[in-house]
Order: sequence, then structure tokens, then C-alpha cells
Amino acid sequence: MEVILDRDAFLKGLQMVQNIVEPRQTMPILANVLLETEEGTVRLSATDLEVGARVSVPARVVGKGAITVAARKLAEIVKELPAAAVALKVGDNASVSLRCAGAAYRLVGLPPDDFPAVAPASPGAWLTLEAKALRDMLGQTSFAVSHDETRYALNGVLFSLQGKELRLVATDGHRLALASRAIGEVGKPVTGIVPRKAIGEVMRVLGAGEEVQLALTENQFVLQMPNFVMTARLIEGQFPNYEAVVPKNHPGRLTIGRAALGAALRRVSVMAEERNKPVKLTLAPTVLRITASSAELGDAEETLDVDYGGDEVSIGFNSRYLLDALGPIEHEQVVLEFKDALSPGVVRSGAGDAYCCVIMPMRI
Amino acid sequence: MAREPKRDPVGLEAIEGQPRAVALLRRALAARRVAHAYAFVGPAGSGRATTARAFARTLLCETDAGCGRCRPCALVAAGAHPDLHILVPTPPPTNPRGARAIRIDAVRELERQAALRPALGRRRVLIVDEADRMTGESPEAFLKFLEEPPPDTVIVLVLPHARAVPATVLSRCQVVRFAPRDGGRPAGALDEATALLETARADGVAALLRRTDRLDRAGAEAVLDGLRLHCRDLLLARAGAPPALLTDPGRGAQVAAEAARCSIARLVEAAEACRRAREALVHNVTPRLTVETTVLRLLATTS
Repeated sequence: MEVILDRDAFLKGLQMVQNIVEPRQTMPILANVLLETEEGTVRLSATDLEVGARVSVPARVVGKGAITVAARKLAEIVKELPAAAVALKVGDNASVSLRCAGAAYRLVGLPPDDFPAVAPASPGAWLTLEAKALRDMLGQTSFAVSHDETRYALNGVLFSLQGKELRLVATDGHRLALASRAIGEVGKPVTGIVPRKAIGEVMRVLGAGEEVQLALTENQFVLQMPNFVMTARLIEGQFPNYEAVVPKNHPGRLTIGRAALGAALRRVSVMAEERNKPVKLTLAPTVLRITASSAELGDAEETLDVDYGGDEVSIGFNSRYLLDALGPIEHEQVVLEFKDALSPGVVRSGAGDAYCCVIMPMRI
Repeated sequence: MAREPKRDPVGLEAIEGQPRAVALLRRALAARRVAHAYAFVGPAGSGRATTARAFARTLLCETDAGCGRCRPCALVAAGAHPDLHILVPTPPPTNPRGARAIRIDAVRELERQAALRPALGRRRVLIVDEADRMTGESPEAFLKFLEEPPPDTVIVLVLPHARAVPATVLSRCQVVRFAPRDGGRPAGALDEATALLETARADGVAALLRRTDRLDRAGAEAVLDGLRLHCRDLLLARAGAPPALLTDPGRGAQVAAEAARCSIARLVEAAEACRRAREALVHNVTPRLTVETTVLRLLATTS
């Protein structure tokens, strides 16, 4: 194999895949990135058996072939190279020589045969989406993904394609975030839980403008962009019945400025006890009072004028969860829905119902 | 030192000396009634881990036969199959020469991997080699997993004897017994162990200490296994068993003479002491000291 690549394009390609490589590997070859020649391109692949990514980098292919080399070292080298052509040539015993301007390296590679394939299963149907839309939806849900390793089914974001809607749902048992978006007609309804690591990688590589295609097969989540494909193994298991969790007809409803509510929550929660950061929201006609108290530190209170005429209610929440729920909302107004001190509260955007976050109350 | 995953595992057809175990596995495969968990129980060197890998290859093979030619078979051979997870004991992260163990983090990682849908095939195979080295809360964590494994999962525990894991763990596995094999590690370990005993008896404690000077953890484990086998042989001989049942039938007369000097109760006690010492080695004890005290204790029993 012998190829000549542009340093900048090569680096960009490496950066798109090398994050997937886990520093501690049980299989040595997984620390490597696979380089394969194709018509006018070099394909770079990396995988940790859970998430895999492949990117095509334009190149002048002098001799066809494939090789694997240590991903982090290669990225480190290419990062330091001057902006010039990079020549890669595979020699005997899987050794790779890399030359760029005056710099020359010899890298010890591993034969490509043992590299686990990143090739996606051929999905039946692709869903085309703007990159920004997908990134927004992931931002609206990924914060609620559980970190409890014993509850596997919650360690990812549920993708659900049904009717004319794409829904993303994540929950950790204390809160649940749901983002939905109208799409064209979907053939067969499909669902799959995409693991947290893959979600992080997708958010990292999603650019602003372009369109992306995604698909769910029986075992895999596949994301495709021009010259790039990422696959992730789905999490086995049953995702909770999220539709039952989202309260329907809460009697109380309050519209409030997002920035004002966020700032007040941050101010008051300074005095909240560290572990769960509990704050109490007390609603009375025209007033929302947010309070926090700690036996050792003292207490804090802030009142906001609101347009509310219902019964007096007070509910305790983890203020971090409230702030997380406000985070992805871009609209200036947010809507809070509630019933009583023991029922979950709902945070929505003032812009519509595409996003909601259900938060379990705390006893305070 | 952590054992390197062996390359080129063979198919089930190439497993020698374990006709019963192989037949049992083949029947399960043929009837498509593969259990969700197996315990491969037998002495070290009897081919348990090799059989586990061969079994895994068959389970993951495209043709269901462990053909050795398809892509999954090749990946299993290369130790690169994404649906085959082999857990081996490792030394503590802070001390590469410490006791090897299967720690709770490793069990959790295995469970996390198992929570993902199979990457290539229809099922995944998890092999826990030297499952008796699960320390602390690992067996309990693993038990939870054994009780409710994800669908399409086959778990194989490799064990030296049935009681090496809590009964609750074993009761969830189908037990496959492996017979000791001639010329394997046990006989070598037995020689080493009896040599140590002889040295201590003939030349005194100082000579024993000189011999154990370079003993590392793996060596100590082998010696203790050997001592235990020796106790077993003595017990058998004392009870009047024919020499053919001994680990090394050639030593029948010698063993019988030694056995005649001690009581059955003392021998049972000695075997128990070997077992405890062997268990202690999994934890943070000094290997050399453990071996020395055990040898001296046995010496006291048999003289």
C-alpha cells in the first residue's frame, strides 16, 4: 500500500475516528486505526466493538492495500506535521513509513486481517435529517441518560421511529427527557437504544449545515454523512414505557421567562444541600417563590412575579435537574406543568411540544 | 502474569481426552438446547478453557458447525470476535506482580458489553476463565447477571472444582466435568510438591527455605495444587484404593508406605489446610511463606 494524502484532510479524518479508540484495550488491534485504499480515497476506520466509525479521506493511491497502525500515535504525529503532502508506504512486516516535508517516521503496524469490521449492516430504510436538528434533539435528551451501570437499558438514548415522528427519549429514573420531530412517512416502526458513548461521538462529529442519514437495524444504529459512517451496537433490553411517564392533563400551568427562572434557580441553589441540591418551588397567585435551606449553611429565597391564578402548590425539585431541563431550550419562555407536591413536574419550551422533560418531585 | 489469549483455538472435534464433555456439548448443539450457562469443572490442564473456546467457535460459526473457515471462525481464532468475551484474572492495576483476580470492575464491564446487541451473529459467548478467582463482591455481582442474562447469551465458567464458587452461582450453570489428563500440569505440580516435601524431610527446614527462595505466585499455586493432590493420593492409599486411582500410579508403593504412617482424620485435615492455603493465595498473602508453612504442616502430619 502506498498513498499520498493532504495533511489537513488526513488530520481531520483521524480526529473524526480516533476518539472511539479506547486507551485501555483487551485486544491490541483495537488501539489501531485501519487504513484501506479505495478509488481515490483512503478509508480510516476505528472501533471499540461498541462504536465504530469510518471516514474517507481523498488521497492519491499509488499502490492498493490496507494496514493498521496505533491510532493515537498516528494522530499525534499528523497533528505536528507541517501543511504538506503526507506519503504513507507499507513495508515488510507491517511496518509503515510516513514522510512529510523533511520529517520521516517508521511505525510498527499490525496486519489488517484481524481488524473487526466497521461495515454497517445494510439497513432497509434511511431517515434523512438536518444535522442541526439531530444535534438539538440529542442535546435535549442526552443529559438525562442514566449513569447507573446496572440499569443497562437506561444507559443510552431511545430512538423511536413511528407514525410520522422521530422521538428521542432518555431517562435515569429521576427525570425523563423527550424530543420529537415530524418526519416523512416511516415504513415499519423501529426502535433502538443507542449507547451513551455513541451519542457523545455523534454529537461531536455532527457539523452545522449538512444533512445526515440515520437508520436502525436489528442490532445497530447507523449514521451516515458524506464520506463518513458511524455504527453503534444497540443496547439490549426493554426501555421503560415512557409514554406512561409523561403526565397528560396537569391542572397547573405556568409560563415564565427562561433566563429569569434559570438565574433565580442558580442563585437560590447556592444554599441548597450539596448532594441533591433541593429547592422548593411555591406557587401562589401572581407569585413564584423559590427557596432552599441547609441546616449548616442557612437559607435563600427569591420571588418572581408570574402570571398564575390557580391554587397554591409547593413542590420540591432537584435544582440541577430543573437547570438541565432548561438548558436545551432556546425559546425565551418556558412552560412548567404541575399538579401537587407528589406528582412529577413537566418542563416544556414555550415554542411548542416538541421537547419536554419530566422531573420527579422531592420531599422537602 | 496475565495469560495471553491463545491464538488458533481448535474446533470441538480436535479436543482430546474429554469424550464425555465433548459429547455433552455436541448433544446440546445438535438438539439446539444450549443452556444459558455452563460450568466447565476439572483440574487445570484438562483442556477446559480450550474446550470453552472451541465451543464458542461452534456457537458463533455461520454454519453452526465451527467450520473454521467462515469469517466468525477466523475472528474467534484471532481473538477478535466482537461477540466473544473472555474474562481472565488480572493483577491489581497498581501492582503487576500482585495476586491475579477477577475484580468487580471487570465483571461490570463484561456485563455492560453483554448488554449490547450481538455485533455479528445471533448470540454472544462470555467465558470466565479461572472463575474461582472472582474476589470480593464479584461472585454476587455475577450471580445477579447469571440469574437474568440477556437473551441469546451463553456463559461459560471455567472452574477447578465445583465448590470454587458459591453454590448459588453453580446452581445456575449446567456442570460439565473434565477428567484429569495424563502428563498435564497436575503431575508436574505433584512432582514439584513431593520434591519440596522430601527436601524438608531429609535435609531440614533450611534446605526447604533455600528451595522456596525463588518461588513466585504462579509457582506457589502450582505447589499447593500439587500438595493437595498428594494429600488426595495419601488418603486414597490409606483407604486401600488400588494404585491405578492415584495421580501417578507408578508411585503406589511409596505413597502407600507414607500413608500407613498417618490417620485418615489427619489426612483430611491436611488436605483442608492445602485448600485454605490455596484460597489464601488468591488474596494478598506472601506466596512463599504460605507454601513453607503448608509444607511444614504436612510434614508434621505425615511423620
